[in-house]
Amino acid sequence: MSVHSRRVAAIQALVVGSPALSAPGLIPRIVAEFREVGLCRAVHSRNRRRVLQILHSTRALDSALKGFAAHHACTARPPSLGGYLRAFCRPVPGVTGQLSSADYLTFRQRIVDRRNHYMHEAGAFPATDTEVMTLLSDMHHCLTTVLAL
Amino acid sequence: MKRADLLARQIALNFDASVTVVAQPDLPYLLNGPDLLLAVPGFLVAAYVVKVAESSRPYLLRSRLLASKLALASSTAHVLLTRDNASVKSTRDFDETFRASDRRSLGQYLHFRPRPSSNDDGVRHLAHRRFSLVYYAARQLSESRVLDRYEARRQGRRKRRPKRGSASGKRAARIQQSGLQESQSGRPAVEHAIYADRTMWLPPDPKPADVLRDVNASLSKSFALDNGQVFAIDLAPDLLLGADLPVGAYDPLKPIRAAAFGGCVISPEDAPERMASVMERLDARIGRLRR
Repeated sequence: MSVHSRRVAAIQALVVGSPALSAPGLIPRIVAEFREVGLCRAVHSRNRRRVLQILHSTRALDSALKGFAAHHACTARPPSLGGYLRAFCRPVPGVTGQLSSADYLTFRQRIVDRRNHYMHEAGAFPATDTEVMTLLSDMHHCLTTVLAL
Repeated sequence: MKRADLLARQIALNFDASVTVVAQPDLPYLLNGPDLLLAVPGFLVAAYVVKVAESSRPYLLRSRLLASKLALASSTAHVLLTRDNASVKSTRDFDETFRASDRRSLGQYLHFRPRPSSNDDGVRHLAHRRFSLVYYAARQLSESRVLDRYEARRQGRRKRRPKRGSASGKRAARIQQSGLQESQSGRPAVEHAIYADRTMWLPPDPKPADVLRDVNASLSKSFALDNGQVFAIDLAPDLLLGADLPVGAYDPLKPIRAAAFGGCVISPEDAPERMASVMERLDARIGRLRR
């Protein structure tokens, strides 16, 4: 099993084992998005492959954070990746921890801003696979941190 | 493949599709975490198999457990899997111990979903808040170099290491320029006395495994494990300096992130002024964490 497969499998196990993601049908949807990230490696066009990897990974992260917020009756305004992260910086009912401002700043700059750039701007593509790997790893880091709150 | 890895994989094959089992999981901020993750909806078990080195040095197993307990959610159960003929010390830190051959009991445990006994949320959050500050500082110092090295590796243009003579010449020039004195070991002496006793060195061309020993040492200085409960001791970060910085195989920043989780700031050794200002700010922020 490659390191990438072991990482994705580990994140899947964290998602399945999280008591906060128990909404019906949510876990299979998140897990399927993570699997798609691996399948994208077969896409021949480099730009398309990179954007698809970011797209599937961000959909998994978005859904997981949304499920986490819904489970704890936490309202995020706006209901977006940045909104959820901001909401988790405040005390959340039933959650003993909260994101620190350093966490928020890190995830905002490294995930939200970069994700928005590639998802919303025509002609914007990651220049290298390293950039994609870094962004995906940051998303794994973010999800692991939120699920451990 | 190591015996412990093999055993973990054999165990992973013995569960049906209702259990998500991952052998040797790669977690974003653990260089050496649990051997197995077993998950059923809403419940996660991290399982550990004692490695050969850990059977003679139990503190290595405790370090692994300590890091995992801090990294994973408090609802995670941490269980030890023992070989039939093995005697293991320090099992009291785990939530449960099973014989590796007794997969049925492990399966029942998963479906029974007991609440883990430890209650260390406060310490875990302290560890995470320190981690985010240390990681932020380490990235300021090292990220661009690590990503350059990763990209160079990917493109197969491994930079040839300069010959010894020229490297030492460059180092001498660098030390002269920066105003640092050279220590007896040939390393630039860390003049800032505050960091001198907290500085460790990476070997040339370090691998993630080279970071692990220092991370374990740093983590054990910061946190202690007693009867399954984690306690915070001293949160002051350590410095891990090197001419080359370690790069992860898939996740380029993983060694830096994992070191930060253990309380080590990885930094290139040739940027003393920048390092001093970043560390000064970091110390001040970490000092405020426990107030």
